[in-house]
Amino acid sequence: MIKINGLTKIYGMGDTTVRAVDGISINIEKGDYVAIIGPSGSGKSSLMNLIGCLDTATEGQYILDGLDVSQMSESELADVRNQKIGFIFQSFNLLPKLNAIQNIELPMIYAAASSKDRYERSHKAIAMVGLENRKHHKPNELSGGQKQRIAIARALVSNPSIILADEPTGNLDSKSTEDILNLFDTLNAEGATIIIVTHEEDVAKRARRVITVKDGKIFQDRRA
Amino acid sequence: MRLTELFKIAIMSIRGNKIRSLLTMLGLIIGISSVVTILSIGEGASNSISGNLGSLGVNNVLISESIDETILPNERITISDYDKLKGAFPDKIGQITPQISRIAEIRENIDSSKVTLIGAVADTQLIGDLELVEGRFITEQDTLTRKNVIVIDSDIKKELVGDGVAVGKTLAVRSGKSTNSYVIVGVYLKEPSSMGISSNDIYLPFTTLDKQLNLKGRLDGIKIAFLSSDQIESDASQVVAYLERIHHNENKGKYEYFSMGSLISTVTDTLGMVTLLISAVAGISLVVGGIGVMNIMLVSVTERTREIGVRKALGAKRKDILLQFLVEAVIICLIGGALGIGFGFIFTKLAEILFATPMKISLYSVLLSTIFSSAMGIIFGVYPANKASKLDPIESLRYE
Repeated sequence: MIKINGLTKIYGMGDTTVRAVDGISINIEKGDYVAIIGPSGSGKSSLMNLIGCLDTATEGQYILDGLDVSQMSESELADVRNQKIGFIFQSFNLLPKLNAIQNIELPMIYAAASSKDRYERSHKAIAMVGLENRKHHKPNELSGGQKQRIAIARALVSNPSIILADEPTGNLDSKSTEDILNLFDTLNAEGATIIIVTHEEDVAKRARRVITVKDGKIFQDRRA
Repeated sequence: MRLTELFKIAIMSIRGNKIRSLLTMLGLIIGISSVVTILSIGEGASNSISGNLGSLGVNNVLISESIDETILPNERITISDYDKLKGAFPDKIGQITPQISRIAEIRENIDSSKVTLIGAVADTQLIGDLELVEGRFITEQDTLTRKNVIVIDSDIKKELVGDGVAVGKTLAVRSGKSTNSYVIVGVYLKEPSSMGISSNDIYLPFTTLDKQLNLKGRLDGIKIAFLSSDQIESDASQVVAYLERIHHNENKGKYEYFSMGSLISTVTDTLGMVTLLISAVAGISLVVGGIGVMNIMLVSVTERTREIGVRKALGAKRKDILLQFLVEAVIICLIGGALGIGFGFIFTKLAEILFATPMKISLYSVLLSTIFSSAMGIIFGVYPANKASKLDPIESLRYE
């Protein structure tokens, strides 16, 4: 699913360069559940941005689903994000003016899906997170846990190859955290590939594989 | 991404910020409504003026001595020229009258005492399109016998005798140093004044005026109504050439003609220039309005940085973001334009009531405003939209 070889990201120029990601190589199989952990400044966010195709590497190769992403143009990367990656953010990042179902439909607007297709898939996605009865609510009318479930539905709607979650429980209480993690377990059991970036041990514990990043390098890679 | 989605997003964003969107449009609304109103008033005034002047006779031409040339005594236009011209162009000339007029004053205590004495022949009634409401007009007999008779207008009559009978009354009129008494023989209907241009004309036999003013046959000019208005210029030139032959001063430019048609085109041309000038000033407000749109769009881009980041993360391309903001700017401008045209209609109707002149809302001005406002949207929307499209998704997602 993901083949990363010698991936390096250098920020800055001249003497003051920072090697945020320093020659990382990992393979992630389809259906895996991976947690990337590490202290702040370890480079885990930079790694996540590269895996999420939000950023391009300075050096190295990244093959996602058989496609060499490291050589792609900005516009091609947008397509990859649209079709292969489902993002889940710490701060939910739902658009406040849109209601729940409109937020879920958003990726499909950029995929130019037909309205029938959009309707069916967004309703299927909202059913998976169990919030059909909230579909016309605006984000500010939803609780934190509900917001994150809508965000997960949005990540699922385009049937992506990987689900990439950046501190998905960072803004949630323990009850909602448990709900979301259970949802991840269910999704993974159904075959979804999940990569979760976190600094919380409890969250990382739920993953089947934990990769610890330190100073831009892989410090530890263990299976639970 | 589909165009319908772009429109939906834009409308949603505009509706989400109603007050701000309206304020953004305000500049355009003011600019466009003033352009539409000014062009409509201009068009209306131009139509009304040419209509009024046209009613004075587009076939009419006044032949006179040129004011730019020295006119020798034997070159003066006289009654004998009039007599010769009368039979000279039977296939071209409909009516021909001598032209003598002097300002005068009626020796009565009335508002319209300031008048113009106009020397007339029987044809003067036809050429001036005068409608008699009482009595008769000046006859050939009157001119031959130099009778002291006058035809007054209905306004003066009303002031003199109200609804009574004016014919038969005697009126003292002073012109220059001489004061003469005339018997009123007729009253003609005075047309309502147009655009404040109004004078009270009193007609009397031109021979009578000639004698009283001691003009010795000299005329101010000769007025001709041609049968057709198709070739006024060449017909008038032929008459001028004929006059030059009589006086043996060919091609010296001693005589000139003045046609109503050329006056109309001069006036409407001038009015058109003025209209254009005022429109240009109003057009500046349109540009200011456009800058207002750009300003708000820039604020909106900053405000929606996070939204842009989210959209990009979910698969929006540069082009999608660019179009989203551009379409929004164009829609704002088009709504502003439509409201501007609407207000322009209302202001035009108000002006119509105010000036009591029918105005014409020209399709041209509506078309112009629509094109202009969408152009505004594109021109002033491109910069903010481009700025939005270039935002980095990682930075944007981090933006608070």
